[in-house]
Amino acid sequence: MKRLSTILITLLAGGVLTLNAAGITIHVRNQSAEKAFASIMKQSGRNFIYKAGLLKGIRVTIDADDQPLSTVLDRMLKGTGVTWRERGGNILLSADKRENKADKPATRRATISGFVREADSEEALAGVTVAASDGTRTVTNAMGFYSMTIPCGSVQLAVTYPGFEPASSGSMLLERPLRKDFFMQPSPSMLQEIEVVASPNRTMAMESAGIGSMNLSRQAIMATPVIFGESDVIKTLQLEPGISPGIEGMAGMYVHGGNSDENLYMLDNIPLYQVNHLGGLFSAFNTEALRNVDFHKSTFPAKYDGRLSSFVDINTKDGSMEAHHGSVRLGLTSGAFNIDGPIWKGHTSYSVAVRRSWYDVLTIPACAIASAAMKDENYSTGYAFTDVNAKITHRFSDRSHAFLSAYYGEDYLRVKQETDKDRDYGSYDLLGHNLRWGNIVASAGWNYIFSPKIFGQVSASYTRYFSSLKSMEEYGENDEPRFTRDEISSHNNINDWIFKADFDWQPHPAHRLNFGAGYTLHSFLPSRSHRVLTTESTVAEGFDNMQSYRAGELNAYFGGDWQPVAPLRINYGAHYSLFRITGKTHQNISPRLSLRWTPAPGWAVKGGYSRTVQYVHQLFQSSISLPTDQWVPIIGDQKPQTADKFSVAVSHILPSGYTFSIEGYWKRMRNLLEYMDEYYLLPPSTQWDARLTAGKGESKGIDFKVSKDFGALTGHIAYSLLWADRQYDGLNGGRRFPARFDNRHKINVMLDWKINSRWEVSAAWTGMSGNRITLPTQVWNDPSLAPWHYDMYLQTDVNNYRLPFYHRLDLSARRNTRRGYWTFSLYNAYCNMNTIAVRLDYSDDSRYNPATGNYELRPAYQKIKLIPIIPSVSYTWLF
Amino acid sequence: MAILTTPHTHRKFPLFLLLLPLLLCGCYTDFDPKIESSPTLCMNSLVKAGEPIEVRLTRTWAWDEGSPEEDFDIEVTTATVRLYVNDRYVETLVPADVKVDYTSSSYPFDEKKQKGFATTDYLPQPGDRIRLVAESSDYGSAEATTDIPTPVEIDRLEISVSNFGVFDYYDYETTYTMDLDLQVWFTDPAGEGDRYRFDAGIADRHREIDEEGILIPLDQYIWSCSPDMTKEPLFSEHMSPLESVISSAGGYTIFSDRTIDGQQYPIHITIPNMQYCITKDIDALDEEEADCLSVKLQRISEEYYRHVLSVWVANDGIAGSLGSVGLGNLVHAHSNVSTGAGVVASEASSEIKINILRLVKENL
Repeated sequence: MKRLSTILITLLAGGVLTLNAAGITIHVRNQSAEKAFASIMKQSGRNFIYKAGLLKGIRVTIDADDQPLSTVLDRMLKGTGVTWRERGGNILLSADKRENKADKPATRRATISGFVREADSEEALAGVTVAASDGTRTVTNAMGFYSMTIPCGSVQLAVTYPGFEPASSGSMLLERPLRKDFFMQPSPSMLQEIEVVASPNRTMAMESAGIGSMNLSRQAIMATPVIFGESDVIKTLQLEPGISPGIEGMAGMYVHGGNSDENLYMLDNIPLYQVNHLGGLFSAFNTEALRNVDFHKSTFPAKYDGRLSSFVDINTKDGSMEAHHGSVRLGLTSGAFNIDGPIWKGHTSYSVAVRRSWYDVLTIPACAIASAAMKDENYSTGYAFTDVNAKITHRFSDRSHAFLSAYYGEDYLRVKQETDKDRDYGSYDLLGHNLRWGNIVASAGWNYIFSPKIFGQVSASYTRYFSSLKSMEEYGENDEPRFTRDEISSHNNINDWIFKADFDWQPHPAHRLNFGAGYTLHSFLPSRSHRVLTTESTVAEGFDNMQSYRAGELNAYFGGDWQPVAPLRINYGAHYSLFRITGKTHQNISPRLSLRWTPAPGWAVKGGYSRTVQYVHQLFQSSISLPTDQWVPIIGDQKPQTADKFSVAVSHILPSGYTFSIEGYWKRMRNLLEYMDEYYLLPPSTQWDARLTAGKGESKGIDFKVSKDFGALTGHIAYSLLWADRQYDGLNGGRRFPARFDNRHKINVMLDWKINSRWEVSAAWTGMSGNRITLPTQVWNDPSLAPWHYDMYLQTDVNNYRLPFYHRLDLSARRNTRRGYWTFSLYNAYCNMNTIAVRLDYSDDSRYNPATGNYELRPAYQKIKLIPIIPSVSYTWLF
Repeated sequence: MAILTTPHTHRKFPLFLLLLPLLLCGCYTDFDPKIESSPTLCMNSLVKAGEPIEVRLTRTWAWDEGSPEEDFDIEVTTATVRLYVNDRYVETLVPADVKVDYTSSSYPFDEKKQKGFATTDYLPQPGDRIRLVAESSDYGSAEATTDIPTPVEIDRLEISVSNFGVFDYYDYETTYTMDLDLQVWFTDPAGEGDRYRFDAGIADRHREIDEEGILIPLDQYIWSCSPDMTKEPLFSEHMSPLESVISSAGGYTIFSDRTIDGQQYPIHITIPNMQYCITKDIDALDEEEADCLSVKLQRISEEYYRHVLSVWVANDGIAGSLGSVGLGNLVHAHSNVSTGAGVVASEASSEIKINILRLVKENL
């Protein structure tokens, strides 16, 4: 077990010697300080005591022959930021605050900057902590770029990132702007308790003024056990506090009482609309294709706006500049192929990742067998989802990079049935359905280091959301020209052209600015439907909601990160947006402010306020993702949706690697849009916006988390307390009601244990208050107007009942082999089938009625429990 | 005994097949949700132009309370029901036995009746606005309004007979079988907002009932008549493309005029394998005593349409299907009664009857 604060090294037992009693002889060049001290300790017979991490990454150069120990130590430690003193015969090593202070002349500072990349592939690493010997820290941006202005003189940079061996610059003399790139080696198995320096999330917890932000690596996502073994970024985020997962098994995300369309998912900073497959069972993000994920849920960088609740920026892999790599994964539900490598070694790389589900592969032969068995009937059906990520990156120089990237994700469902069509008599029946929905993204960008203090990126991109549903049924006579054909189609499309420029500028060592602007040309086709009824003698044709909309959206932002004094950090900014549609212009300014104060080492107290604005939203018919869930803009008298959020947080880190954080928030949402009561009774020709009602929402809660990012055993424990409600004029009689996913208490435990180089096991336990549902309390007598008789439920308050407490344990194990790895997983390991709904039905236990002498069914409320234990296995072949 | 069924062909592509892994092992367990509620007044009435108004009052009940009529009585008979026509008080309804099922084509003498209230003098007319106000000392008051529509006449009926066959059984019965293809032409009045319900079934049955209650058919009768109304696209106009994949119109024959506004249009239905039996020489049979096939076009009020549509959405639509298994919000049946329980609706019908004996003779 790792010692918590101090390492005591005793090499020799012996009496107390004077410092100059024996001469020290040592000749080392750029050797680690720890090795050099080992040699000195042998010769001097002293104990050396120092804090864990003090010497990490420090390399020394010294030539000394029979020199006094004090002289050797002075020479050896000069410029390293470490000083020494003698106490009780031991040598105490500590950080030299005097030297740091002395090296901080206001006029003598210089900027050191560069990229941090993975050693083998030269893939940029985002979120890497770069720490200078004077205590200055920063993290790399999405392009792996870092920049810091620090006192001139002898400096040393330590670079750390979970899953990689720590790297160090060694001692460098900083006198003018300096470029220093790092190439980090992956750590195949972090079996040894390595020294805790920093992780992106620890750095954010302590250094950043932001609240509720985190960085997820691909490794962390792949280590999270999930249903069907399909690693999933959204399902990994579901384990974080303050995030309700929604319906069991689905990749839903309801952040701090918000709705699922209030999360902005971006692929390399380009918005995506369709973010899942198969009704939400899987997210649209292929883990093989991504590098890491930035997630913000409480205070938001000024750069982001357009959604109310959270921002998820998924950075995809650039591809290796040096060698070709790839993988093939075969799972129970899907397969994936991923390859990347150089096109022009050292200059241009590519990365391609393809994922496709298997479902249609299973249904096609089943349908063929069924059709063969059924005379005069030909039936085929198939469902599949596909996503493709492709990217080309080119380095013009150390300062100039460009990229081209594309994403294509699609779900399709096809059904075809022919009955008695090939006969020459009687009637026939034809039926065909074709449903496609998904997202296309294409983007091109160029980023340039204008100076060590200014980093910029310009990009142009196109994103298209599409949902196309077509259906045809025909009935006719084989031997007569009589038929009835019904063709119906509906379309919901969004086409966005996006142009943007983003810049990072550090005008002052304690002040970093980011600013940018963008313009998006939207084209919406919210709900077009077309129907043709054809008989042998008539044609009736109808069009509904044909109107398309063009909208222009202008965005500009600036943000600053200012540290006026060491304990205080201020993150401020504002995002301006202008949305013009149907001749109406909406303008909003979203101010952002967050403060961090460090009252004591290892402690950070934060407070923040964020406003967010949303102009485009999704209309849901259910809690699963359907192709009929339309993305629509605000039009007419609708106002932009806004959210104001206040947050406070306290973070505490321990050198042992534990990070504690507690966050409280209060969020108020206005102009939310939702389907009104009985919207489905309006005729299809009704304009889509007439089905909606506007309202407001409020949520408040507390998130608590303790995490450990280093060592063989990592993970976190999280607890959330949440209240979330809604109020709409056209819903629930205008009365306030709790949100569907008002999960009052939620606990998550996530553990990942790297046992050895071959085995890694993970466990994730989730426990939370149940979702809310609307449970009918009274039943009324059927008026017998419909062709079938049903029990009529009396309308009650919306979401009036909370489902029972939900809990589940997921396990996974990964076994590395020479050529790849196996992944085994158990979803719901102890098979606690959770209640997902309540139905009103008849009990299986009939009862005896003495009056009639019969056994009769008894009406009863019944819990619907769905998902049992689900094992899965997949193999990934690496090449 | 004749068989009357309404085909209910569900050519569903099961949405839940996509979620099969989730559903394979689903299970249900009884429980008591412990939610408080109290009964309220429910008022049901279908007002027909030219017929006395009948109202049935009941109370609502908690689902797990038991089964009405078996475990407890839900009739509310000690109440007053007042009728207002075009906002003027007309009369207070009196207790009476009232019809319960408005959709069944059961025999008139087999019709089920329950306790209710009915008018004594007033006969509603198309265009009247009917307001019914009920007050019960136990369950409070309920109120609802409906506007009686004007009927839309059937322009003509085109019948095509195919696969005509004759089968003799044991020298005492002959069965005629045929496939019928019907086109029912009507003209929708100009101006959107008209709503309809279509129905086809046996009418004017001639039966005797013996002392033991057993139905004795006369010497000619329809043995089998199963109209297939799934082919008419108007009946599925409320379905989205996705719903047309996972669901069906399922016997619901309501429709609006949104695609046929102001046009003449043929409703197309079939009756496969219709069977007509006779036990006497066909020339000796009286055509006046023949069973008839009735084709009805009902122009229905808005609340009628909305209620039936809501029942379809709740049970067959996407929103209702997902809501009922916890994947969405629950869909309630539409009510236009102030308590949220019951429907007061109206209709005006036009009808054409087809004498089957005559049809058989024409095809011999």
